[in-house]
Amino acid sequence: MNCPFDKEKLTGYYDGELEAAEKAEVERHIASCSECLRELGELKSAAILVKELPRLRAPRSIAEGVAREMQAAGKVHSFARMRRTVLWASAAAAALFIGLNLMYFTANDKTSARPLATAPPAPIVVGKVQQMQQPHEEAAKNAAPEKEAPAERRSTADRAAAADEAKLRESRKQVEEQEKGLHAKPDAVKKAAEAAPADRARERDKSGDGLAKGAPETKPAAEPMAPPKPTTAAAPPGAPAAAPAAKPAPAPEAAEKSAPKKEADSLARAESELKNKRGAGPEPVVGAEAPATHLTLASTQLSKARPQVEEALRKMGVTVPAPPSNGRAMKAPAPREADTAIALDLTDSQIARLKQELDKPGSSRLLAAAPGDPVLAEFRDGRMLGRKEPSGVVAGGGKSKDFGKADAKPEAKTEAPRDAKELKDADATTRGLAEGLPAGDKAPEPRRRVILHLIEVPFVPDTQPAPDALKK
Amino acid sequence: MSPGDPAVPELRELPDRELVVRCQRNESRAFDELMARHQDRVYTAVTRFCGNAEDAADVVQRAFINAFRKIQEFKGDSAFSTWIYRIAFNQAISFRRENKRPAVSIYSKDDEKVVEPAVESNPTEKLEGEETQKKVQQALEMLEEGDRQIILLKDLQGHSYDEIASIMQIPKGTVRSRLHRARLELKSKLKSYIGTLK
Repeated sequence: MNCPFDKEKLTGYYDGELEAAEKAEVERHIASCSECLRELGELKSAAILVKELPRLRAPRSIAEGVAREMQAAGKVHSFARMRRTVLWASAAAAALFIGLNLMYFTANDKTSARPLATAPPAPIVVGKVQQMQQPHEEAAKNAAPEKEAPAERRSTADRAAAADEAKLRESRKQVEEQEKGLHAKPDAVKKAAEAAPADRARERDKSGDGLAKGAPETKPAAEPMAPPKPTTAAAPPGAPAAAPAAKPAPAPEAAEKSAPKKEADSLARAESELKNKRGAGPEPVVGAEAPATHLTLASTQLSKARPQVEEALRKMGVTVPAPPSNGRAMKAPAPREADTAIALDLTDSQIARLKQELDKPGSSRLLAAAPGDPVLAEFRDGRMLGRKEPSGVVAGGGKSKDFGKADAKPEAKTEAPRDAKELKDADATTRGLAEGLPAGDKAPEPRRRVILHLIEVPFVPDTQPAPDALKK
Repeated sequence: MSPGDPAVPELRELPDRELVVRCQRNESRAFDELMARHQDRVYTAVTRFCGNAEDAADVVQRAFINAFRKIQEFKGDSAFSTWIYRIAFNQAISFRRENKRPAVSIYSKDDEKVVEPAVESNPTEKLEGEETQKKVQQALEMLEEGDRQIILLKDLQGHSYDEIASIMQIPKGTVRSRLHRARLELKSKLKSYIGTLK
């Protein structure tokens, strides 16, 4: 017990865990130290007693318990795997559904929900006679046939708005392209018009294809105008209300024979030919080569209307031709109506200014329409814009019952956008005037043939609130 | 087929490491083979450690279930035997702390459990041998858990110092000193028997 030798080495020596040097050291030491040799023997004896303990066989219950656990775990694994699969499948299906919805609504937003505020100002549309006479559904179908399926799910008003938007965009694009073509290569305009697809020309006709606000000076006077429907005082009784009700006065020979004017006339002729080819009905040729724009001044006092017109035109430096004596004054279908037609050559700016001069709430209003246009029905029977009348009840006697039945709904749908468009046109023109850009300071502004109809109506409905620019 | 039964022949030839890999691929038969290889040795060590056969069976069963559940976390840094001994002894230590009940002698059970019965030449020697084994078991149970564990791992199971260090998660140098101390303690408990062994 007094031997200072590291006794742990004796354990290591017995277990065979010593390095060769240590092993040799232990062997040298125990060879000379009886105490360490005896302790080594005791350690060995204790180890042998433990080593000789019998080995046991594990009871079967252990394996059975583990097997049960493994089986349960396997079921859990299977269930977890199945649950994971189901979750992944559900997540994938949900992602697909959301993605498809996003794509669907994004596509719809791009086409139909483009905000009016961000859209550039609509082109000045003066002649809208044909557009107003077209059924709205047909216009919407022609303007955006690829959007039929989404449009069916939308309300009728949304569909109409989308169609108007599409028409405006299309017409604006075409106007810009044609302007470029007129500037760069005048001959190409005619070719382009002849080669244009039929539905493109139809779109232009329907939308009125107005003048672009940015460049009214370069616009041919007659190109954007839809040729007016023939209207005569001797229109057959019982004709549909949407049919032309006033015959446009024969346009006098154009005083200005400038080159752009000729090109515009040629383009208009080409478009008329295209329209005839696709069965749009025979176009009236009333003496003048260029189709005229029909404006109607609806006044509660016809006797004051003409002096007002003359005064307004005089302010603009336009000489009013003498009243026609050959009975060109139009007889309105209604007994109380009496209209007169004045043929003028006016620029767009002058038209806009004329509208400003003649629009007097409650007493007179200048409309870009022929006297037979359905929009004037409200002036005759006292209906407010956009208000629906019971089917078959038409006041004023100027319209048949068929008109009330057939046109009450489409008219109600189209009134608001049409009136808004009219105001927008006036707004755009007025803005140009307010910006100090009179026509005289620029290049000579093209003139258009305008037939101004004066009619007496019992009622002049209020217009929608005018934009701020118009108030200026 | 349940765990612990002889596995299919192709698995018997595979080393523990390969069987572990197959277990990690959810091949349950590989775990059966691993259990068949190690359960008796683990059960013996745990039984000597606990001093109670029933508790030992419970502990070993829990140890293998835990090993099965955590086989995916086994990275193969040590042998599977080392890993399962560590799990089993930790389980046994926890079990003994939770269940303070008197030990039931392993010798009260059938001899069927004995895989390698002590070699006795005659009944007298057998009785002496059983008496010695009881005394050794009692001496073991009087040791500290760590001392008992290290003696069982070295003298009963024959693990190397490296393996013991891995199982008990102590340095290798500590294994020698701790084993020396445990043997000295056991020697003192079995002094009378050690004298007769000479």
